[in-house]
Amino acid sequence: MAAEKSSIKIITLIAADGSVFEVEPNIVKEMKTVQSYIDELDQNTVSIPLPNVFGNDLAMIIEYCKKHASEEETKEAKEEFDFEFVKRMKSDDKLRLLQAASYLNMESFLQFMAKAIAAEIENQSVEFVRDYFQIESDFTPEEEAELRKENEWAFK
Amino acid sequence: MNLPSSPSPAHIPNHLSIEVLSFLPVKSLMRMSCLSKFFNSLFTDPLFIKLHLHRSARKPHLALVTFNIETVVPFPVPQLLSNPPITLTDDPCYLTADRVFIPEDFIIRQVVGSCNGLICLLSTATEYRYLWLRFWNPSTRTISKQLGSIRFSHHVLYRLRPYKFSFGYDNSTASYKVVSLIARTCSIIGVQIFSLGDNVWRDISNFPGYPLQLLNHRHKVNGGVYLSGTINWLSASYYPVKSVDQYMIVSLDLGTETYKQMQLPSGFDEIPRVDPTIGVLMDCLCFSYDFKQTHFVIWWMKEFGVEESWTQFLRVSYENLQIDYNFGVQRLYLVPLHLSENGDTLILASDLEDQTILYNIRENSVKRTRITNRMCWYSTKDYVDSLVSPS
Repeated sequence: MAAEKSSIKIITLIAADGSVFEVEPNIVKEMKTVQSYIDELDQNTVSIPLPNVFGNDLAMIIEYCKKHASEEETKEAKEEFDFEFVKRMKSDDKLRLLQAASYLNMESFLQFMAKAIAAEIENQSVEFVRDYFQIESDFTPEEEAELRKENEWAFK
Repeated sequence: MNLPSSPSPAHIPNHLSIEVLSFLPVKSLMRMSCLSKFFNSLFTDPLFIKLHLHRSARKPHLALVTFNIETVVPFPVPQLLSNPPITLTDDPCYLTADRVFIPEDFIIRQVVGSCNGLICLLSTATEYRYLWLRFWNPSTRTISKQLGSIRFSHHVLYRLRPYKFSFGYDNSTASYKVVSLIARTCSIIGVQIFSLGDNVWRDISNFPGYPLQLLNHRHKVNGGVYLSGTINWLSASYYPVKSVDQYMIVSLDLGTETYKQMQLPSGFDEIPRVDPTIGVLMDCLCFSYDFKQTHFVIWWMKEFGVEESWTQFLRVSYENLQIDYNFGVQRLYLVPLHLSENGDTLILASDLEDQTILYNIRENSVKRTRITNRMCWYSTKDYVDSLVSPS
């Protein structure tokens, strides 16, 4: 007979570099990839390997989830946390966390990271954004010049 | 294993870059159309336009209108609330009378409404014989041709029969619609609908009642109020209104093109000195009026279409709003324009003042905006930055 889902007390997450994180069930609710795995199980403890997420990133994601899952924190404190959380990140960190959010299927964290990246690139040049997302232009120089001319006002 | 703990990220898949780009303002996206052919075509993809619109809605703007409707300037609400001294620049992209857009013998008469980033303008030829609609997206800097020409007969012009237009979006057919009310006689109000795309006016059944905004010439607020697929008018079952129970709201469903009548809150029990108004605050239909020339009262309908959900939102004295005038002589039209996202600050327009009123509900404090341009506050509309095409 299957045990109650709530019987799981501790979840062990194993990052790509082998680092181990023990978390409570409410912390991983937002990680749908992990949650759907847990839902299939009927044991008290569970270890889940996450081969696409690195330890440093997983630590940050767990920190974010803990803060946002907390019922004691005020809305203002969470906003303040979000602001500082993004501030200490480099561009590469944001992109890795965006990908991790996508892999873990974390809807609101994914949007949070997407917004943070959008804020960073909003006033940047086309070249900067190409470099950021590693996009190869497939326009001929003439085509690109034409397009830039069409949207000239947007470059001011 | 000896993997680096923070490697460089791998190539970002398109679905993630799309997620990021959906949070960018239109101006940045216009630049990013140079990224590659894929992104260039993405920004005209209806699904991306819809996703971007959904994100934009959380960044509220007001479309501010300067005197004589010379310019319509999308302005972020948080910046308006922080209330620095503001001079709206003459960015040619916001000039409604720009000859690039409109030949010089045409005059913009009215900002009909704003919906999903499209602004509907009403222009006339100088001799007032014809009317046209124009659909304009200030963010993408695109404007439609003159559409939906209406020729007014001499008879109508001579008698100065009033007409009013409203603008909204019909989710069921995914089309933008303009509704026109025309007083054919004193008691018959004809209604026509124009769909952007078909570009023709069609008659629908006559208006069930007397729309106050059409009949009261002093009323400065434009026609109907758009909210979730409907246009709503404050109306009366008898005109001039003799008792308070003759007031009602008539709601037109833009999908079915049928009317529904809604009662006003039962707490509204006295005919006010000036006609009440309706509007939208935080996606709720609101109803506001003067109470005994001492207070301004606002109700809102928490659940649209449910009369039992009318709740009093605000009752504030004119003293607290720092409005001081001679009630014996003057008539005050006070209209709520916008409620800030956190629900703290209400933006109110008064027809007796050049500046708009920023009333902080929580602190019960008042500021006046400091905009140096002459403004038409009554034409102000809620606005969102969007990629929606006006044609």
